[in-house]
Amino acid sequence: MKRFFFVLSVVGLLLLAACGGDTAPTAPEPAVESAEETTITESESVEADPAEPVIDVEAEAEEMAEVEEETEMVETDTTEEVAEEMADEVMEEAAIAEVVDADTEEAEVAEAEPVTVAIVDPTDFAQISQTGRPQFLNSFATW
Amino acid sequence: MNGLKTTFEGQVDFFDLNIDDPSLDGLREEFDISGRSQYILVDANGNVVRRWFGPLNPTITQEVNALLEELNS
Repeated sequence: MKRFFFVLSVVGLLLLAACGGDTAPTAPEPAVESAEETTITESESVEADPAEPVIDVEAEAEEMAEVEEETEMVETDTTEEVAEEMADEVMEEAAIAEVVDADTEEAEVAEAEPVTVAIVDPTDFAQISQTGRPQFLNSFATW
Repeated sequence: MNGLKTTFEGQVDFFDLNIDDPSLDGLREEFDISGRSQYILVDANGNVVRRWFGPLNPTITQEVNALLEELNS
């Protein structure tokens, strides 16, 4: 009989444990949390290891970007300096060309001056054979 | 005549001589200008180079140009 009651009490406790729900759910929650924590820890630990080289890559990329920017700045400065030198040379050549043109124009004007002759009064006969140039005499009769 | 003046302006001096004007008798004798209307090309020294009588031919421009080249050469 004692065994029977013992068995009944055990079965009753089991039933209470199964139907009560207060004690049972509390037990697995920490287990889940612990599992999550474990997972997080594992993931953190897993992420932590590859994170270090990622940070290095980013840093290297930033350094490379900075170096490239500096290189571009240097190239830009060099290009601007070359452009300025070219512009100065062009301006100097243009100034020289202007001077040469001005001299040429003055020479041309000096050469052209003798060609430019004042028109002689066609009735000023005192100028005939006195102008130093060939003359064309138009003799006509009025009657 | 106007065409000649335009073409040779600055190279040749043009004079209009009225041979009926008694004041120009000296010039008539100097350049042997008869009673006929004529055109005379004279060099810078007053020497007659050529005479043309009658209406001017359009080719006179080329003739005068050739004569001026000879005078300048």
